[in-house]
Amino acid sequence: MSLEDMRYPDDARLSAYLDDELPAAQSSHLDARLREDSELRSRYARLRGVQEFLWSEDEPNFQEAMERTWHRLSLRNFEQPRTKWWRRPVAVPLSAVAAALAVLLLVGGVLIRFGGPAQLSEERSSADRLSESFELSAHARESEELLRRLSGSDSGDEVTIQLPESRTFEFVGQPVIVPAGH
Amino acid sequence: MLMKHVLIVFAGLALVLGAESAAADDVDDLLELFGDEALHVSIDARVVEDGERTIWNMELTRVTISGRSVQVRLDGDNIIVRARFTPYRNNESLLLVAQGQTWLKVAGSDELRYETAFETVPIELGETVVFYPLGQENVTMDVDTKRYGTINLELEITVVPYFQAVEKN
Repeated sequence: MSLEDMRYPDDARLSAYLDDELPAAQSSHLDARLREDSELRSRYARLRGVQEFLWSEDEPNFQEAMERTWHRLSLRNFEQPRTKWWRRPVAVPLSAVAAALAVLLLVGGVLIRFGGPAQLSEERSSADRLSESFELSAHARESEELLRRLSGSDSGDEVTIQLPESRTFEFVGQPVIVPAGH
Repeated sequence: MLMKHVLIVFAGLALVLGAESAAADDVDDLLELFGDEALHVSIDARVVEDGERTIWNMELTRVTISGRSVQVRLDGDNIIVRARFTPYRNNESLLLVAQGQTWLKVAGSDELRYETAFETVPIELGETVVFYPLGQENVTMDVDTKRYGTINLELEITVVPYFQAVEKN
C-alpha cells in the first residue's frame, strides 16, 4: 500500500478498517489519521452508520418472501414449477432398506444358481465371436505385422565395437552424417 | 555370424513374401526374391589422427532389408557412440535414415557431454556416407602445446544389394 493510499484511504479500506480486517500497522496508522482528519472521520461515521443499520435489522424470512412472490405471480397466471416425483426427497425407514437388500440378495443368489449355465453359454458364444473376428483381422494384418516386426528397431540386434584403449576422445564439433567427400 | 543373419532375414522374407506370391514356395524363387530385397550394409569404424591418418579401424558387415535398421555401438575409455542406420530402398536409390548418439566424459573433469545427430541422406546404392560422432571440424595446430588436433572417430557406411556384395567377394 502506498503512502498516498494511507493518507486518503478509499471506502474499501475504510470498510476493512471497520471490519477489523487491516494489518495492525495500517490499522494504527488509520487510527491516527481519523483523529486528525475530520472529513475522513465523517466518511468513516457514514460507513459505520450503514453497518449498524444492516445489523439492526432481523434476518428476513426468505421462505415467507418466496411464498408471497409466488402468490403474486399466480395472480398473473404464472404457474409454480412442480418438482418431479423422482426428485422429491423420500424418507425410507432403515428396516425397509435392510429388507429390500435381503430380497435382492436372495433373488440374485437364485438367478446365479439356476441361471448360471445359460449365462455362461452366452458369454462363451460372445467370446467365440470375438475370437473369430480376431482371427479374421489377424489374417488381414498378417503381412503388415510381420513387416512391422522385421522392421522393429528395438530388436536388440546391436553390434558393439570396442575402441582401442588409452585413447581419449574429445568433441571437435557437432556430430554429423554426410555423404563421403563432403 | 553373417550367415546366421542372412538366414534370419531369409526366413523373414520367406514369410512376408510367401503371402504375396504362391510361386515363392520354390527355393529358387525365394532366393531370387531375397536377392531383390536384401541389402548389404558395410560399416568401417575408424580412429583417425590429425584428420588424415587412420590409426585403427574395424570393418563390419550386416545384411538387412529395406526399413530394418542396423545398429552399432562403439565403446571407448571415455566415450560411447550408438548409431542406427535404416535404409529405405526405392529401385536404385536409397534413403538412409541415420541416427547417432554420443556420450563423452570430458577429459580431466566430471563433465559428461551428450550430443545427437539425425540425418536423412538420399544416396545411390553403393554410395558412401560418413558419420562423425565427434564432429567434423578441421583442427589446426595448437600453438601452446605444438600438438596437431586430436584423434577423431569416423564411421563409413556403404549399402549395396546383397547379391552384388556376394558376387564381389
